[in-house]
Amino acid sequence: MKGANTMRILIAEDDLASRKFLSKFLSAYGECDITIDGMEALEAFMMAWDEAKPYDLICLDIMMPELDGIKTLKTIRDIESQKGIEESKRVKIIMTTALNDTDSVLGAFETGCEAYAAKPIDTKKLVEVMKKLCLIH
Amino acid sequence: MTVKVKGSNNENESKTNKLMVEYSKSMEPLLKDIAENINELKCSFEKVDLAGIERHAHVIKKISSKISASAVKSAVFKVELAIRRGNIAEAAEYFKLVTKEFYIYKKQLKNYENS
Repeated sequence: MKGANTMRILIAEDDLASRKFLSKFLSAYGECDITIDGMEALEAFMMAWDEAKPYDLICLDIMMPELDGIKTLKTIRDIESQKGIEESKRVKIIMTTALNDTDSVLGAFETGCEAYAAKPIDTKKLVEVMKKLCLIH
Repeated sequence: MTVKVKGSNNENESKTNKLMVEYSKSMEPLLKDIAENINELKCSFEKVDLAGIERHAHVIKKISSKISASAVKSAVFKVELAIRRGNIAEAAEYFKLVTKEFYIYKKQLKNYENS
């Protein structure tokens, strides 16, 4: 667990209002990078590794252009496996979705996300999830 | 007497060089686009136009991806990320890196053309 305000957070969200909201809220817990689609999220994820400053938390929207959240999640997990990163040290990923689509959410869990948050995001629940994931106290 | 062997090393090398020159020439319009967007980006920084900075940085990123200018792409992506965080000072630092990497990239292409 990192100290307050020291987390590295990546938000991947195509909707302007949602990413502004998430970024404003999560900025209290660390430095937030914002990407607008899955491809950008992957680029940011790899760049962070190249600079030895990996993210602690990624919030991935399921419905995104270019590369959707599920495919992005799968690619991130594949890259981590290739790098030989232990399961406990993998980035924590919370999927965000406006969908009441249990298949998508189940698919995301099978692919390796830690949690999901339905939109509109309930910030209290999000904090609870981050606590459960040992990202904050 | 000289013996010319089809596919010899010299011939292949010359073909490769010719292709490289053609390739670098074909990229001239894209390089011009990047240069223009770098100027626009500079103007946006001077006007503290955050939306303009993000827009021009994004265009440069797309073009540099097309021409495999990975160092330019990486630097300009950092400009985008910094500006989305609202950190104009950090974005300005990365902008310097963009211009430097673009200069290096163009120099490498020129070397191919002159070789």
